Amino acid sequence: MTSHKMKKIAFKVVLYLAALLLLLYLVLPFLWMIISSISLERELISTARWLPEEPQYARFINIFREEAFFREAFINSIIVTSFSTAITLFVGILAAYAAARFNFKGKQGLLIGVLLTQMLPGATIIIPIYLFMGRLGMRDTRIGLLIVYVGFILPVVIWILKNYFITIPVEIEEAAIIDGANTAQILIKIMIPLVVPAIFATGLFSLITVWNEFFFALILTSIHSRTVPVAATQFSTMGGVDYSMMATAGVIGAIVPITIAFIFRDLIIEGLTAGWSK
Amino acid sequence: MIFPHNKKQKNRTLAALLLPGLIIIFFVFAVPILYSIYLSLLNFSRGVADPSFVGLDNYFHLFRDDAFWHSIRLTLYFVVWAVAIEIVLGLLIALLLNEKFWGVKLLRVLLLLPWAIPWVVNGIMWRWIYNPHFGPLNRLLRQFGFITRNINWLGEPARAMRMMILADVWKETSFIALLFLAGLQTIPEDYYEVAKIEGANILQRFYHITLPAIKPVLFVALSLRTIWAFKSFDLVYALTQGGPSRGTNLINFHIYQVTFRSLNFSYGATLSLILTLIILIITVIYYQVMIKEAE
Repeated sequence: MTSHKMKKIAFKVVLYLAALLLLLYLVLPFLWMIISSISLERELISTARWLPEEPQYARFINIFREEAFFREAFINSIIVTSFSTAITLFVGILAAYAAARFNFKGKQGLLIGVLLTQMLPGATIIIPIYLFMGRLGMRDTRIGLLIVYVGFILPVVIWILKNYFITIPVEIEEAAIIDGANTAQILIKIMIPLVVPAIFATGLFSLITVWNEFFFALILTSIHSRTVPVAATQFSTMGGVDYSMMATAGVIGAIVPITIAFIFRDLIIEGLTAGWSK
Repeated sequence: MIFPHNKKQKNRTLAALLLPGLIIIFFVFAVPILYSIYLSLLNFSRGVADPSFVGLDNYFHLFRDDAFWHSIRLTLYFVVWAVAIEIVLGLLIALLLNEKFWGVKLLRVLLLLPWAIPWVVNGIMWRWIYNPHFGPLNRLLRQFGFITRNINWLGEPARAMRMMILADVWKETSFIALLFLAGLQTIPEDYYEVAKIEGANILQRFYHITLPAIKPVLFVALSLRTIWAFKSFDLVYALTQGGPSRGTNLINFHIYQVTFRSLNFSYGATLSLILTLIILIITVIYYQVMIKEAE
């Protein structure tokens, strides 16, 4: 065998070993959560075996039936996540289009401001918002949390969508203007259809971000409007941890964004890399 | 470009497009930031019936506040180690996934798994993995004979910090690998072929072909991850609650405790503004370096 061939085989061996290591690294931690979620509590604390004797799939239904606060949290999460994404996209499309196609005073400052919002620690805005909402009776309401989320993701959404809008040739709109179309018509009939994949990707990004958000939800909500991440921590901080229930709640909290990410992986990867790299 | 050409009409269109977004950003960001500054000049906290103006007292207090400096030191340690490991590991993973082999597509999909998991679930998950009595980490190590007695992974400050960094690395490396992979895929394959023919070794190829291609991405990854790591909160909350003996009490968690557990709103606002300033300075430094590199 030539040394060149040997080298090639050695490279393949290293490659597949590395790939195997990566596979274990990516999968094992969450796999343990899934195993825990379908194991009996006593199986988990006996540590005699790794896999459950009889998988307890029913726990994924029982958690909603028996733990009313988790069921409510799930509903809150769905409502807050979907509405804040829809509102943010609507407002974001308008602003992003203005930023992409119009010149106006303070435009540069505005765009820098948008980026600055990303550096801001959540505490800087949430302390006053917590106090304001206390005065207005909006603490622990879905609408209060929703408003904060819209504001929180709007800057990023504007930034990403603006980057997509500027890739579209201006000539298309100029032709439409000559034909007498106004801005609303141009947006609805020409621009939005051209960037539908981008809007969709941005929407998915927003869904995942809001669904996963914990800090604002922890501070602004309690029994009436808490979301899944907040409810999930309650299984581990309650007196006498129920490890299997805690794992079930964690898996449910994670399964929604994971599913979205796996199904729309190409869109999300493109959105992530294109949005952040510009 | 400017259109429509009629100025009055243009202004009206612009207002309709921009105002909804501006109003939201104004109330969610601008007003709270200004109010935070105002708060930091008061002594508004639990036990103070009638908050009054105290000037820069809160800022002076900061310099004598050992808990604050302690948590800044911890945060710097956390950020430097976590981000450094994530960048190196992320690059290695991206280089691996840029190769062609059986199963690479599946791995690229699975790479999204840590990224998609909510931060707080990540914390709950690792707390369970590190559990000293029933956690799989101790069980695995015992089964393979690496240890004979269970290790209390989160029981001692320095070790808890290292374990927290590991949990952060697991989740965040994915994002960096994704960015790097996108950068790597812009390199035409024949670049490497030509370099090989001309006799460049693997290090030379990495330095002259790979590195320039991922440099812009490197800056984005580095600056974003640094900013985000400075703001780490969910992981601390779910994994350690800042303990043991405040050994993992990162600055953002410290601010949370000061504000919402001790109910010292004014001092919490002061700390959050200082954190904003720190992040801002770091970002500006990164930006300067990036511009210099680009020239």
